[in-house]
Amino acid sequence: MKNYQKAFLSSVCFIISFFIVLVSIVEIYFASDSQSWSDRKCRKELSGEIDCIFNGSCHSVYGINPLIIDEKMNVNSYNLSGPEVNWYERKYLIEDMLSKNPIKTIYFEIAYDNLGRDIDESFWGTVYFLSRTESVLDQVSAFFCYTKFNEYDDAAKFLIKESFEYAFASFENMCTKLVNNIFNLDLKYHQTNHYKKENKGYIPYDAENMTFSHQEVEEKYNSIAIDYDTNIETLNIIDDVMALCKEKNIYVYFIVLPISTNKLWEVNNFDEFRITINSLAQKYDCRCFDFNLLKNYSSLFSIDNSFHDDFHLSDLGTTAFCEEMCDIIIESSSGKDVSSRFFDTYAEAKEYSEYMNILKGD
Amino acid sequence: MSITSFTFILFIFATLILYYVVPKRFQWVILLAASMAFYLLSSLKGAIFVLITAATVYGATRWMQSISDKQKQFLKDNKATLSKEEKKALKEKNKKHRKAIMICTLVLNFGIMCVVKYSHFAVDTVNSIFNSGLNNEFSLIVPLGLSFYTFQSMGYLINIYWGNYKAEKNFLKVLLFVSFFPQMTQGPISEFDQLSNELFSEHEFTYKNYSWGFQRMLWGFVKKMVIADVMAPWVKDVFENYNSYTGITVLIGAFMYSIQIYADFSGYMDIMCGYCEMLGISLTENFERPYFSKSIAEYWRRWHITLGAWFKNYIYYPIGISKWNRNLGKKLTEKCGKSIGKNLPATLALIVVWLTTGLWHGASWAYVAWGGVNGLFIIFSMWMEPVYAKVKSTLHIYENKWLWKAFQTIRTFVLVTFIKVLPEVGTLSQGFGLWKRIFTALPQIPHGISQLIPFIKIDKWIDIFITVGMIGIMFILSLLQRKNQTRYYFNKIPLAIRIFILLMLVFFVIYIGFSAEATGGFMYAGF
Repeated sequence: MKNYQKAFLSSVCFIISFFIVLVSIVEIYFASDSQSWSDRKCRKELSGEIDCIFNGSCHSVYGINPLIIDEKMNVNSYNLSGPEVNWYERKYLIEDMLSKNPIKTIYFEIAYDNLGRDIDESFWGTVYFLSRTESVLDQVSAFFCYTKFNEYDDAAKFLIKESFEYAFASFENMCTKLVNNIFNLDLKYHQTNHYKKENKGYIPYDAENMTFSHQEVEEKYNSIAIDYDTNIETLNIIDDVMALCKEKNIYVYFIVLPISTNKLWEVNNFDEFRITINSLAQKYDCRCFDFNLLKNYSSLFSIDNSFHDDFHLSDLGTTAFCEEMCDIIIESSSGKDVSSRFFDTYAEAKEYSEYMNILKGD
Repeated sequence: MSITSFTFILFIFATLILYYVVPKRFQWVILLAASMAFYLLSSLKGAIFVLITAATVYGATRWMQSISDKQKQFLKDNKATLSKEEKKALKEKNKKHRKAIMICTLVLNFGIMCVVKYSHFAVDTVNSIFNSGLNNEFSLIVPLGLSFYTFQSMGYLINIYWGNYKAEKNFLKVLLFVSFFPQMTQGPISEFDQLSNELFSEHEFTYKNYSWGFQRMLWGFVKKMVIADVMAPWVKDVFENYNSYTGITVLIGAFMYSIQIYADFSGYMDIMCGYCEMLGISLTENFERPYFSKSIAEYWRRWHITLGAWFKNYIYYPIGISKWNRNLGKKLTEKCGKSIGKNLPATLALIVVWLTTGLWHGASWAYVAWGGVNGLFIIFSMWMEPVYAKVKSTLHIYENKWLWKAFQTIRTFVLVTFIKVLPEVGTLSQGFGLWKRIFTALPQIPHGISQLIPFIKIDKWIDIFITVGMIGIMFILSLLQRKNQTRYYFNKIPLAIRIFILLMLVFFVIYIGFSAEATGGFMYAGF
């Protein structure tokens, strides 16, 4: 055999062997419930039962608790959100759920940071998305379509590292079990299962006290502008998703989840985003609720325990928010006008912020 | 572009494919394009310095060569008409002219290196001696591989001055010699005649070069990512907190540093030599089982071999055989005996070599001291050689007995380790502080493994197991390499088992490499 041929064949054998082993380990990792977002098994088990889904990015992963929704609204809901997902990934998951469940209502979480998200922005979202898809072909195509070239190695490193750590942890647990059984010991196991099936896609966050000092209240008032934009590709995907919902007679809501008092205080251009989302809601003739504009925001959400960070609710905050959201949706669905429960603009809402008293010197 | 990145892997394999696809006479052009691309991707501004060095060396060597050629031609044409004195005078005049060109080029290029590398050190020193408040906050562009390519190109310049070979006429070939990317950042420092022969000759693709080169590259990645990068945070922890650890713990940390730096540097060499082997190019070896050396002098003939050869050829020998040194030797022999007449001139040359070696490794007094201590041991051994011979003869110690060899090897390893850590802790006083800690806190017995090696997280035992396993394999391979047969026997193993072993190594590199805390590149790349 010629040198070139021998080198080519041996390289191909090596590469194929490498990918077989790699894909096997990564697939085992994906099929496990090792991570808090690994919900494949759960969705499969609930298949055929879900009638309501919440779809969004990180804000709703940590901010929508289906158990509260189910109890208050008498539905069987699921939190189909994922951190940093783009709309291509959201559409895939929605189509998958729609094909397996009698969905009647979808709540789309819209945030300033996910209308302009590019298809290949942030490999994290893609990695989370990959762990939730079932088909290897879909995973491979998603990896290459939704990941920037210069992030291939970061994304691959993350996947490989997590997969191998899971494989080694599982191997260690096997050895530990054997040793415990043979020698009657009580050695500790590694925790390899982090997904909680009972949470139905919700991941609770702990609370952080983020209260501004007096000086910070004065310095940070309307001090920054959020850099957000809309993306033609994203808007086209939203068009497709809305058309699909219309075709399947699914009732659609747009919701904006609450962000922290601090961020609302700091940012001076949220009203621009509000105008964008309202025009989108008008275009698709669906209801839109921006829960940052709630008139009882200050009494519902306390800065010292309702948020995990600037953009995400804590478990306590999520409970308060979900109960309030359910009340409003139930009221709205029964034909009542709920607009009086909201301010019209962010500027108006800011006047009633708990920090305004400090700024005014009261 | 990091050597341990996915982008670099793609880059070198793309270069490899192009290298063998193009007509063989253009293979060196591909290497030049790849070297330029590598440099521009890594350090755009630094590329200017490389071009300056290449251009000045090319210009100077061509000029010197033209003077030599013209002289040769003139003497040939006027052989009959010129007297002996006239010929001598002409040769002297041309030699002075060529010397001036060489010195100007050396001053320019070493000047650039000194300014870029040693400005902060110089300002710090002046400020501390004279209490002046000179500004030390300025920043300078430090080109990638500055010390390595400067030394390599100056070696070429000096060889042309000595007339060892003819100057290269093609500027692009000189540029490739200066900037050849596999050796640019950490060596080996090659001689032009050896490297040009490899770079500019035509290479046929062979399966053996391809597979053996790949295996060596992979082994290099294992050394770097599975051994060196994993040990780096452990060593850093010991060096930063040596005052809180027992003497044994600090000693273990010092030994780990020796293993880490060997794995890091030789790992890089294996990666680059392996890659060059795939290209059919043979680079000079830079390591020859250095930790099996039986003396400090031998250690430095086996560690960073090409740097030692450079200092030997261009500093030690020129000083050693210089007129004044030879005259000094003659006078000392007459007055004080043969031993002093032989050793003192050599000592002077060694002092210069080792102080400059220390300075080359780092711009700080700690490194100068490190070089000085190395030199001191070598000089001391040189002077004490007759005494050692007498003692060994009296005690009936036979050089070829394994026990004596083992003692020498372990002694040398311990000494080398102690010397190595001196500049690595920080300042010179911190280095001495670490030495002091080892000895003063040695009687303290650590209670349990957590106190013996507190810097290692035992809960990740699989990572540690793999790393320690690879260290063991590295040690065994070093032992087996004595007979130089390891790669031959590895390639005799059935293909399926070889693929399995190589796959395991790839997965270790990927898993451990991605888990280890980032070290910011290779250690010797900082020089």
